Amino acid sequence: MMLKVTQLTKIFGGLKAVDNASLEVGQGRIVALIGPNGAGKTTLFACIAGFLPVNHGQVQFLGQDITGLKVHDISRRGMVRTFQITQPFAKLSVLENIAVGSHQLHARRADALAHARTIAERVGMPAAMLDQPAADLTVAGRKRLELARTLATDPKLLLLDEVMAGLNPQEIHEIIGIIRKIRDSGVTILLIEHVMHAVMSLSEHIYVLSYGKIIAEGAPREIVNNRDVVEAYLGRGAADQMGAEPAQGVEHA
Amino acid sequence: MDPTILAAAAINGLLMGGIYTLVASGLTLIYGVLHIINFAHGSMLMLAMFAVYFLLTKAGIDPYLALIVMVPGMYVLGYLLYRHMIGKLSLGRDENILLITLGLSILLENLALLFFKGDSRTISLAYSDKMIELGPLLLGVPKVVSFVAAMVLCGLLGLFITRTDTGKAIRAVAKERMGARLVGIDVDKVFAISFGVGLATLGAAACLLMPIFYVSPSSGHVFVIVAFTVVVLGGMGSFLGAVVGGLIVGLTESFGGLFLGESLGQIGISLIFILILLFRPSGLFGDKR
Amino acid sequence: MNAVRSPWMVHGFLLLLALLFPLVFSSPFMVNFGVLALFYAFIGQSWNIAGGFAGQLSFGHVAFFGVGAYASTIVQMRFGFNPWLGLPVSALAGAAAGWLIAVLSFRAGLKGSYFALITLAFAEVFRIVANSVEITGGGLGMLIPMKQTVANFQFGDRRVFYFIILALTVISVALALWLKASRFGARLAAIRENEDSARALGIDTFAEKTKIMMISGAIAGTGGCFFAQYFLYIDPSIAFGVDKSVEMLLVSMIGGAGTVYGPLIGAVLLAAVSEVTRAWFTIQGLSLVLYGALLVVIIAYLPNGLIDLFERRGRRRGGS
Repeated sequence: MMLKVTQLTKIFGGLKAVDNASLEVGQGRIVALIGPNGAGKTTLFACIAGFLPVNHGQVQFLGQDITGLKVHDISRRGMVRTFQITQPFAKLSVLENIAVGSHQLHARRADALAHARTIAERVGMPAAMLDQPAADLTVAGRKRLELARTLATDPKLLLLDEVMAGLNPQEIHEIIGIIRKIRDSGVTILLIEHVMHAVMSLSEHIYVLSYGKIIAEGAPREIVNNRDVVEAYLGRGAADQMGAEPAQGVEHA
Repeated sequence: MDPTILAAAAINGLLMGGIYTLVASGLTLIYGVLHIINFAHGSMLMLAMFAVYFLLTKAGIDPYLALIVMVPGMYVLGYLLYRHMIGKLSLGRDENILLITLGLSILLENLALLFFKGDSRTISLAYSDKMIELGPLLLGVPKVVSFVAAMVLCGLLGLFITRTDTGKAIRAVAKERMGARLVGIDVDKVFAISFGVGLATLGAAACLLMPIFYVSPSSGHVFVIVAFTVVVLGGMGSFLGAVVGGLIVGLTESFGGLFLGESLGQIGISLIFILILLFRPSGLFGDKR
Repeated sequence: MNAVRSPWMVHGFLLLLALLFPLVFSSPFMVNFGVLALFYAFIGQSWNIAGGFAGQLSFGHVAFFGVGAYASTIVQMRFGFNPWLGLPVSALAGAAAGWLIAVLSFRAGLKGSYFALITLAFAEVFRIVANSVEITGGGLGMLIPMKQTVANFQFGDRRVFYFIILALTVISVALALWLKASRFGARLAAIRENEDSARALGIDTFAEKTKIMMISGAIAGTGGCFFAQYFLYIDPSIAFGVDKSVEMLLVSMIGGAGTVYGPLIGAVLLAAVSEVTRAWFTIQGLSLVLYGALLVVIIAYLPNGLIDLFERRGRRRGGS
C-alpha cells in the first residue's frame, strides 16, 4: 500500500476541517479525491504532506508512519504535492524552477539542468518556454511547471491539487494524457479535481469528501450514482429529483 | 531597596509609558490600516521634535501650546505625504515598503544631521524644574503634564476611532479592505487620513516629549526601537495593545535603568522585542496569524 | 551589442584593474578610497548572500561585523595573541553569531519584515552589552596601539591593507560565483522565491538558511577584524551601530541584490560619494542623504538595482 491515511482529523479553532478521514492509495494507481468547495480536500493534502500538524490519526507511506514528519523529509521519501494556487519561483527561469526539483537527485548543477530539460520534455513544455521567467507564464504554463517541478524529484507518490483548474478543454485533454504517462512510468497519483470528466476518465478509485468527512468511495461509476454524493454537491433532495439510487455495498469510511 | 525609590521608578516609568503609547498608537494605526511597517516613524518624530524646538527658540511658542499648530500641521503633512509619495510606492511586497521607509528614515536622519548638526538639543521652560508632590515622591511638572496630555489625546484618538464615521471607515478598511471598497468607502482616502492621523500623533508626542527629553538627529533610532517594541508587544494594529504595551515598556525602561544601571538598563526594551517576536509574535492583543 | 564574452575574461579584467589601481593612483587619498570601496564591497557581499541570494533581509548585519571586530581585538589586546589570529577568530565569531541569530529566528518561523526587525534588535542588544562590560572597554571602546610591523598586522604603507582587503573581496566574489553555480545556491534562490514550494521539493529550509547566515556572519566578522586593524579603534557605536547595517544593505540593494557584482558597484558608488562629499564639502551626512534617497528611488523604480543598467543582454525576454 503506497499511502494509508487512518482516521485523520484536523481541527481549526472549533471547526473540524477534516473529520476522521481514512483513505488508501495502492501502488501505481490513480485515485481521486473530490467533493464540493470547502470540503477540506486541500487541508487533507496539507496534513498528509506534512504542512499541517494533525490532531488525530495517522499517515502511513510505504508502510512507514510519517505522521508529524517535516515536509522536506516526507518529500525526500518520495511523496510530493503541488499547490492549488501555483507557487512558482517567480524570478527564476522555468528551467531553473524544474532544476530545483532535479537537485534532489543530482548534486551537480549541469546534471540537474540536463535532467530538468528531459522532464520539461516529458511534460510537453516547448523549448522556448524554458528560459522564460516563471512569473511570465500563463495559468496553464504554471500548472505544467508545478507538475514538472514535482516530477523532477523522481517521486513515488504525487499529490496533485486541482492541476486542471483554469485550463481550457484542449489543455485539459493534454494534461490528462501527461498524467497517464506519468502513472505508466511508475508513479502513483492521488489527485484533487473538480473537472469531472477528467476525474472519470483518469481515476480508478474515488473518495468523496464533504464537510471534512469521507462520505463515499468507490469506482467512478458507483460514485456518480451515489445519492449522498449528489446531495453533497447539489443539496438535499437533489438526489430524489434526479432519480439517483444509493450504490450497492459502498463503504462509508 | 527603598520602597520610595521603587515607587518613584514605577511612577516615572508609567509617565514615560504614556507618551510611548501615543507614539506607538500612530505606528499601530498605520500598520493596522495600510499594512505598512513605517520604519521612518522614529525619524519623523525626531523632525517633529526639531520643529517644536524651533517653534520655541525662534518664535517663543510654548511646546504645549504648539500642539495647536503641530497636530493639524503634521496631519496635513502626513496626508500629503501619503497622497504624493507613499501611496504610489507602497505597491508590492511587504519588504519593499519596509525598505522604502528605511530609505526615508535614512534620508530624514541625515538631512537633520546636515542642517542641525549632531548636537543634542534640550529646552528649558519656566516650569521645567517645578515639582509636584505625590506623597513622599517628587515628580517633575512637565512629565506629569505630558503624561496627562498623552492620555487625554489617546482617549480622544480612541473616541475618534470608535465613535465617528471616519473612525468607523478606518476600522472597516483595517479589517477588510476589499469589503470596505465594495460598500463604497473611498479606501485610498482612508489610507491618506490614517497616515495623516499617524503623523498627527507624532506631532502631539513631539510637543509632549520636548519638555522632558532631548532631540538629536540620531534620536530616530531610539524612538523606532521603542515604538516597534510597544506595537509588537501590544499587537500590531491593536489600540488597546498600544496602551498596555506603552506602559509596560515605560516601566521596563525605568526599572531596567534602576537595577541594571544606565548603560545596561536599555537592554530591557530590545530584549522584550526579541522575546515577543520569538514566542508570541502576535503580541498581547493582536490577531493570531 | 551581443558580444559573447567569456565571463572569466570579465572577472580577470576587473581583477587586473583592481591590482593596478594602487600602483597607478598611489596618493593616500586614493588608496584610502580604494580600501574603503573594497571594504564595503566585502561586507556588502556578506549581506548580499543572505539577503540577496537567500532572501533573508536583515537590518542588523552589523551584529556579525561587530562581533568579529571585538573578538579579534579582544583576543589581541586582552589575551596577547598574534593579531593575524584575529582573522580566523573573527570569522568563527561571526559564524557563531550568525548561527545563534539564525537558529533563534528561524525556529520561531520569523520571515520578511519580522526577521529584519529582530536582527535589528539583536544588533542593538550586542551594542548595549558591548557598552556595558569591562572586557570590551565599555563605552570607551578599545584602542589598538600603533606598531606597524607585518607581524603585528599593521602596515605603514597603506597599500598593503589594500591588497589584503582585495584578497578578501576576491574570496567573497569567488564564493558568490560558486553559490550561483551550485546546488546550495539554487536551493537558496528557491527559498528566497517561495519557501513553501522549496520545502515541498525536499529542501530543508531551516538548515540551508542557517548555513548561509553562518557563512554571511563569517564574512562580516572578518570584515570587522580588518576594520579594527585598519583604523586601530573600535567602540560600541562603531562596531554595532546601525550605520554599518544600513551601508551593508545599501550597497547591495543599490548595486543589485542577488547578483555577484552588485555589492561592488554599490560599494564603489558609496565610497566615491562618501569621500567626495567629505573632502570637498566637509559636510557630515550628505552622502547618506543621497543614499537614502537613492534607496527609495531604486526600490520604487529599479528594484533589481543599478546592475540592471549593465545587463542589457542576458535579460530574458518572454515569448519568442
